[in-house]
Amino acid sequence: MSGFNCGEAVNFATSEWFPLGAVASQRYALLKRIPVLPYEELLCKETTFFTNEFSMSDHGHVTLTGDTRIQSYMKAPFVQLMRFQHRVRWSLAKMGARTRYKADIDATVLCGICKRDCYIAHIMCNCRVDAICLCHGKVFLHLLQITDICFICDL
Amino acid sequence: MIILFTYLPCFEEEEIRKCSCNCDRVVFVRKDIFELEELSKKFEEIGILDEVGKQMSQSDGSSTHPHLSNGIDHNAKYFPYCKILIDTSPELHTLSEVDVLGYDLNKPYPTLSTITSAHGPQEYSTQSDV
Repeated sequence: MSGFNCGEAVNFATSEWFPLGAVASQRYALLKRIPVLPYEELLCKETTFFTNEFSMSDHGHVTLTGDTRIQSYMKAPFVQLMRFQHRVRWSLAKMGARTRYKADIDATVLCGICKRDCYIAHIMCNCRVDAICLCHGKVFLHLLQITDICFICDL
Repeated sequence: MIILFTYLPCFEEEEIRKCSCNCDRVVFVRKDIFELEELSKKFEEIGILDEVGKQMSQSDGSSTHPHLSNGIDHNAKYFPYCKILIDTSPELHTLSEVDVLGYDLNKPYPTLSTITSAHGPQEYSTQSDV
């Protein structure tokens, strides 16, 4: 007798997942595979969510416990991510790049090279039809250091 | 355990080297970018940089990213979270986001189901640009 075979997966994770997620994200990017879970997006959303939740909490002990764990697993990589992205964006702007808002704030795009999820920012050039992430964006800056000239087009 | 954000070695550098764009390059950012940066600044004020082992310089983060330490404009000094001008004028060029590869969190793979937050009703749902 035949019948239906239904399968459904539900993924649960605590804040301890983020260090593992970071490693997995890098591995996927190295392999140029589309990530199963968008690490950057989850990191930003969860950090924001937890911060808002605990800032509104009246339970001091809950806040203390939760905040310590968040700080260990989410806040630190979040700060590093924001610093790195700001540094690259600032340098690209000094090179002449314009900064614009994404058309769709909820859209997470994938890097055309490594398929990393670009939640905060991505780069578009006339020479490519797809976006690239800021991890590749730093190559532009690296090139400038090597050549000590100010414009990519002069290379 | 603290995870440090590390960076992808670029295997496509040759491709990027060929890039002839300059001022035509556009960096697209989220509309809530300043809120995210404010949150990051707030974390730093309560000592998160100490938490990550002071990997980044308090001044510009260049110790973590030495390749970024030499600015293009040597007269310009970098300050973390300094204002980056955002162009809000109507787009006059052909550069747009229409061709970017969107990521649909609900359908990255056929077997992956909708992901919801365990901490509340917030649902992670992104929309594909494709």
